[in-house]
Amino acid sequence: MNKKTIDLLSRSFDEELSSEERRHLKEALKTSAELRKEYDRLLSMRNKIAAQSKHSFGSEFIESVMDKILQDEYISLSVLARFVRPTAIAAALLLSGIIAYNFSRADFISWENALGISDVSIEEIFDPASYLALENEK
Amino acid sequence: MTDRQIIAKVLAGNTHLYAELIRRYEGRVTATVIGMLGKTTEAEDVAQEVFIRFYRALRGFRHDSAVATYLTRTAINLSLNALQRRKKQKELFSQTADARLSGIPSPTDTEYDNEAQLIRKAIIQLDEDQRAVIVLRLIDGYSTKETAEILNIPLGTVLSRLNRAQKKLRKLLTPLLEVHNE
Repeated sequence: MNKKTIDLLSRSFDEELSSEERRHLKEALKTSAELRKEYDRLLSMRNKIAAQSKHSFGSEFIESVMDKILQDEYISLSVLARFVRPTAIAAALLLSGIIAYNFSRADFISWENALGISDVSIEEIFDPASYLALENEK
Repeated sequence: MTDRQIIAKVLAGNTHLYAELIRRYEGRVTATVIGMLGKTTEAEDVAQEVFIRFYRALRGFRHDSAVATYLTRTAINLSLNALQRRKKQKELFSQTADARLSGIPSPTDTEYDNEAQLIRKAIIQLDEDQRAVIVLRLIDGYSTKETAEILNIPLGTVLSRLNRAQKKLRKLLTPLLEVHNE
């Protein structure tokens, strides 16, 4: 049982051997009882290692993770509430003030008057022709 | 309910449903982390962190990979980080102190008195790179190609690490098992 054959046997579990290598290994396994024993040992070892996949940290693991997640969420919401609520209240008061001021200056209640949107066009406010005439007089 | 459906419901506000995802994948994540770190409190912390990080990343999860693969990749990365921290602790503290500090199972621990624990002890003695491929290939059951993708290394590197790891485990385990079985 030479080192090369043992190496080939070890590799055969995980690698795609060449046809030449497969032939060599097959022949070696047929003729060597020791190599067949080594194959069995490696297979047994791998199966025992694979059995390590059965593990659990117990029934409290899930609860513990969920507690941490929900705690994180609560902290994030608390931080958000601490800043958002006063800001929202201030914004609402400001908006109410603006709307009340606009209504006080308007003749009637409408969305445009509430938001201070005028239906006067820019040309009625600023006449470029008369502006230029004034400039020329100067 | 599929994983995708659970994730959609969690994102819609049904946070408690996330417990179902944890239940589905706890075994896999636990096996990966214990394989890498041994059965320690540190391993449990890392396993919890895997699920907490996944929860935080749910909104950006594109389902490009299966949930199992994503969790396994995270478990391996966090375990490797933990092993790095242990190395740094080893540099700061003495050999005798570091096992207690970092939660590394001691070879003289009476915990190692059954076959499963002997196997865990042998795996812990592999270096990190070999340990990761053994955990993914033999414990988690991924193909060599999937192992290469998870670790983001060439297939050839996975194969050579597997071969070296297997040979080392063969040396470590057979005498231990023979003594244990007497």
